[in-house]
Amino acid sequence: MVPDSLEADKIIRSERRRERHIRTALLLFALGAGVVGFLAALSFARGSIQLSAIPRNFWAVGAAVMFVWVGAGVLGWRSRPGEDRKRLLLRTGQRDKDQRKLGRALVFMPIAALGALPGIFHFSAAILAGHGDSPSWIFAISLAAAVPASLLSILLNTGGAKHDYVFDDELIRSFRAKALETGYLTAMASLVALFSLGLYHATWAVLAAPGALLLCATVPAWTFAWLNWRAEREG
Amino acid sequence: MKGERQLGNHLRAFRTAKGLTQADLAQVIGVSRKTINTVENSVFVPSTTLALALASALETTVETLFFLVEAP
Repeated sequence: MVPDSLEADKIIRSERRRERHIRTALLLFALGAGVVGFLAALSFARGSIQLSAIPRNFWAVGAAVMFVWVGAGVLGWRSRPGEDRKRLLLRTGQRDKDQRKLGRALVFMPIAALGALPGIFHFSAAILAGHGDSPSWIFAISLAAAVPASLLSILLNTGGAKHDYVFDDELIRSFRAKALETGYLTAMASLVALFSLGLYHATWAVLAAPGALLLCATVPAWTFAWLNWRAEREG
Repeated sequence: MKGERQLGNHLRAFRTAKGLTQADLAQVIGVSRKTINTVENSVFVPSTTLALALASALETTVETLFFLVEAP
């Protein structure tokens, strides 16, 4: 039942072809984005552009760029990782290695995310004191959201087909369910704590909220990492 | 009053009799090596699908491979 070497060679050739197509698609997409970005910067530098003032040959260039963009998108979509890649990765034991990497990432990312808290605190304090400008709002909210979002995107596997095979495993799915359960309980407890703090001192609740968000994302991440580590260790 | 039942298994015995490592068996079935490890150590209870896949891979039946253990 173990795939023979001929099938493995076929899978590897197919995977290499897919990777070439993906690289081509990405290159075309980047070139198209570069042209569009250049034109956008040019229009910004010159002020607004009247559509009627754009020569026809520029429209032709624009149409060609859009065609390349769409073509790159189609090529990229058709070259997305499929069953061949999954079979190849399963064959080489890559899934176990990637699951270990995932566990390590979930341990260290929350620690690294602690570095964002002082920045969030600074911007939030400025806004609450009435000194906040637009960038303060943008940084405070986007940093506060980005930290838990990045952790949860790993746990909820929003990375798409590339990481599907890592989570396509009964045991890992059970770990994820348990981790999310602890995250839910932590979120409920955090909300109650923030509400109580807010009743006492509303400003403190706002300043504590990003820390609570990080905690709600960290607890499921570390739960998952611990369950994964324990499963590796046992036996 | 009956104690909570647990699931025991002869997975390791059948696997080693076939000369397969945990990684080999995991690859055959399409799960991670950790899954085989935790099932063998009765840490993880496999789904019906996985239990059937294990039995099929080891050329035996689910009833032979797994058994209920009454907790004392």
